[in-house]
Amino acid sequence: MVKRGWKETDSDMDWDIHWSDRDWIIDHFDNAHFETWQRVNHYRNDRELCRKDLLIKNLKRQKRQLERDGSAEADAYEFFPDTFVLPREYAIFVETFKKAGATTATWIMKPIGKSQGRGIFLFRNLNDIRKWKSETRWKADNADVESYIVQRYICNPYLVGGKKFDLRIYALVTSFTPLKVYLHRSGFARFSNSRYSSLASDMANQYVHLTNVAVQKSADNYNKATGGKWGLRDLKLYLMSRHGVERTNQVFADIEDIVLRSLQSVQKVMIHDKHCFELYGYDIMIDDQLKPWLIEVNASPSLAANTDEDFSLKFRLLNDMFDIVDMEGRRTGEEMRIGGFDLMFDAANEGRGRKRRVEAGYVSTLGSETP
Amino acid sequence: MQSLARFEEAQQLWDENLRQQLLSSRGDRDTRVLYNSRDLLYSLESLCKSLDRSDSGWSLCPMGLRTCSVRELRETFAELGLDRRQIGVEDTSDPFVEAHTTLGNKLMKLSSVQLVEQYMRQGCPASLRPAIYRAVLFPSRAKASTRRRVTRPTFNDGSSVPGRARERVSRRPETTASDEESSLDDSSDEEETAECSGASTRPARDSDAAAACAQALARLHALDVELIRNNDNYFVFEDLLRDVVPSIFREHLTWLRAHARVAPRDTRALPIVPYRGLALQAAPLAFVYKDQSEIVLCVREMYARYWCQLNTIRNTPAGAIGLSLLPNLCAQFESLIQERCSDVLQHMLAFDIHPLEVAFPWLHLAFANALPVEQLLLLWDRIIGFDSLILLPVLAAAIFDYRRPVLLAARSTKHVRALLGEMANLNVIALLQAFLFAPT
Repeated sequence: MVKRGWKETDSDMDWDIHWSDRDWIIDHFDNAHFETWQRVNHYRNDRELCRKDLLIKNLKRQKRQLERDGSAEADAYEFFPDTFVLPREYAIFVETFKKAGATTATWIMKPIGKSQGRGIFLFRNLNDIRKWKSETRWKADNADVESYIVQRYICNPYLVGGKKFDLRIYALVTSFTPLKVYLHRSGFARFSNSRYSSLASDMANQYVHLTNVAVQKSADNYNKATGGKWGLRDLKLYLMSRHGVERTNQVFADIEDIVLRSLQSVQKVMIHDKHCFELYGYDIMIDDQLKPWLIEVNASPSLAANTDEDFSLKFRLLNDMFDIVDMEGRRTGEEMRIGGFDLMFDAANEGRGRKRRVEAGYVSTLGSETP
Repeated sequence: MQSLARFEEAQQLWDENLRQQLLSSRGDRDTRVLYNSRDLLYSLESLCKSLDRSDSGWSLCPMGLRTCSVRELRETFAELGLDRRQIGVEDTSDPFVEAHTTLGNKLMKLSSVQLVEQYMRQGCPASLRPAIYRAVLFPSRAKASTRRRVTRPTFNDGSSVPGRARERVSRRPETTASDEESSLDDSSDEEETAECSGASTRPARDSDAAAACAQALARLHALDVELIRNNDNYFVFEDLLRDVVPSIFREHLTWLRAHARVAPRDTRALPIVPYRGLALQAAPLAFVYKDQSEIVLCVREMYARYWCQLNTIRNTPAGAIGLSLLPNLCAQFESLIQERCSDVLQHMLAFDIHPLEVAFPWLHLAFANALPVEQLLLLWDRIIGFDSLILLPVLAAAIFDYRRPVLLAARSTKHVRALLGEMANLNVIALLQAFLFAPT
C-alpha cells in the first residue's frame, strides 16, 4: 500500500480502506456506519463460505434446490466429497459408512474451528472414532455450534513424481448481489515432501497426507530452498505434456466452475454490502481421473511468503487486488482483466466475463502467463 | 594450423588430466573429478594464453576464431524473424497456437524428420513436445523409414568435408550399416556393463578407468540429488531422476562412443565424463516424459548431439557443419557483445568485469542452471529445430543487451552475476527475436 502512495492510520473509523482480520468485522460491522468510499476486506458472514460445516450445508442445500427444480445444474454439484457434520449427522454418517461396506474407503475427520492441519486424522474403521467420540469433548460450549466434519477421503490423488499436492486458487469477490468475481491466473500447487502411500500403515503419517505448508514445514525433509511449491504455470506445462490440450483445459475449466458454483451456493445467505470485498483462497484437490474436488475456502488466506517467488506472487496478488478495489478511482469497472485477475463472472452484465459455461472449447486463464 | 595443433594438444591434455583424476579418485578424497563450468573456463583461458596472441585485446579467450555477424545470424535463424509467430511469445489464446498445434498433429502422421525440425523452429506446444522430440531425436522408434543417415567421415587435419551430413571430429573408422541399426536401438551396452563391473577383456587401464568411473558416479549421484532437490521446478522429480545420469554411465557408454558428435581421440578415454550440472540438463525432460527409460534415451541423445560439444576445448574444424564447439561459442558471444553492447562492455572492462566469465556457465550448461523449465524447453526446441548451439551465445548477448540499464550501474562481477541471474520472468524467445531482428 505504501508503494501505491497510501499512509497507514490507527484511527477507529477515519480511514479509507481497512484491512481487518475477521474478528474486527464480527465485532464492528453491525454497528458501524460506513461512508460511501470506505472499503473493508471481509463480508459480515463469510463464514457461510469459509467454515467447513456451513459450506457443506450451503452446497447441499443448493443441490437439493436444483434437484427440486428439475435443473440439470444439480448434476454438476458432485465436486465435493461426501461430508457430514458431527455430532448432528452422526447417524446418517454411520449409515453411509456401512453402505460403503468394509471396503478401503477412508474417511477424514476435521475440526471445524481449526486451521493449518491441526486436529485432523484419517480412519477406516468406525471403531477408531467410536473410541475417539467417547474420549473427546466434541461439543463446543455453544450447543448450536457443530464441532467436526467427517468427509470421504480422496484416496486416489493425482500424483506428480509420486507425490501428492493440492492447489491454492485465489478468487476476488467484489459483490455478492449481483455476483461479481475475479480469478487470479497465478496460484500454486503445494506438494507433500513424502511419496504418497495409501497403505493403512501410513494413514497416520501427516507428512504423506496433509499438504498444508504448516504441516510440511515441520518434516525432516522439508525443503526450505523451494518451499515445496509449483506455480500453476509449471503444473499446466506438466499436465499438457502428459495429457494433452483438451484434458488439461478441462481440469482448469472445472476448477473455475467449482469457484463459481460455490459462490452461487452462498449468494442468498451472504449479507451483501457494497463496502465489502473479499479475497478467498480456494483449496482444490485433483484426483487421478483429473477431476478437481473442493476441499475448503479460506477467508484469510496466508499472505506469508516462504521464498522469493512466493513473495513475488503474493505481492502481485495484493497489488492487483487493490487495483480492482480501486480506491484511487482509476478504473471504469468494465475491464475484463486487471493485472493477473480475469473477470470470471459478472452477473450484473448478463454473466459477462470469461466464464461462459455453455461455450465449447472454453480455455481457462488459470496458469497462463501473467502480463 | 599451428593454433589448431595447440587446441588439439590442449584437448588431449584435458582428457588425460580427467582420466588421471578418475583413476586416482578411488580414495575418499572429495576431489573435483566432477569438473564444473569454472574449471572448464579456466582450461580454455590457459589454452588461450599459451597461444600467445599479441592482438588479443579485451577478450578472455582470444583465439582468432571466425564468428558471425548479427546480419549473418539473421539468415541462419530466419524462422525467428519478427514476422513469424512463436510458441512462447504469443498468448495461449492466440489463434496461432491452435493452428500450430493442429499443424504439429498433422506432421506427426507424416514421416519427415526435416519437416518436424523446421516446425520446431517456431516452438513446440507443450502437449506435442513428447511426440515431436521423439520424432526428431529417436526417429527409428517413431517410424523406421524416417531414420536419418548418419555419416562419419574421417579427416586428419581439419580440412573441409563436403556435404550437409553431420560430421564427427573423430578418428573412428566408418561404421557399417549394421552398426547403425543396433546403435539406434535403446538396448544397453552389455559390453560396457561388464566393463564397469570389472570383468573386462580390454587392457587393464580401461577397467581401471571404468571402476574409477563408478566411484566418480557415486559422488556425482550425491551432488546431483542436491541440485535437483533445491530446484524450484525439479524437486518433485527427485526419485524419478535419481538414476537417470548414473544409468547413462552404466549402460550407454558404448552407444555414446559410437554416436557422440564429439568424442575423445584416445580410444581409452570415456565418451562422457561426469560434470557438475549434467543432472540439470537431464531434469527438464521429466516435464516431457514419464518413464525413466525414455528420459534416459532423450538425455543420451541430447548429449551425443549437443552437450558433448559444450564439454570440449577443441575448436570447430573449418567447414564442419552442424558443429559449434565451445571455444567457437565463446568467441561468438564476445563478438556479439562487442558488436551490440559496446557501451556496457566498456563499462564492465573498466571495473575488470569480463562478460564471458558471467555468461560461460550459461553456455556450458545450455542455460539449464539458469532458466525456469518452460523457457528452457522453448529454447531447446529451437536448438534442436535449427540443430545449432549458436543460439546460446546469442541469447547470452541478448540478456546483456536487455539488462543494459542496470549493468551500466554495476561495479563488480558478483553484482553482475546477481543482476543477470534473475531470469524468472524472462521471455527468452522474445529476447532472441528482438536482439536479432529489431531495428537498432
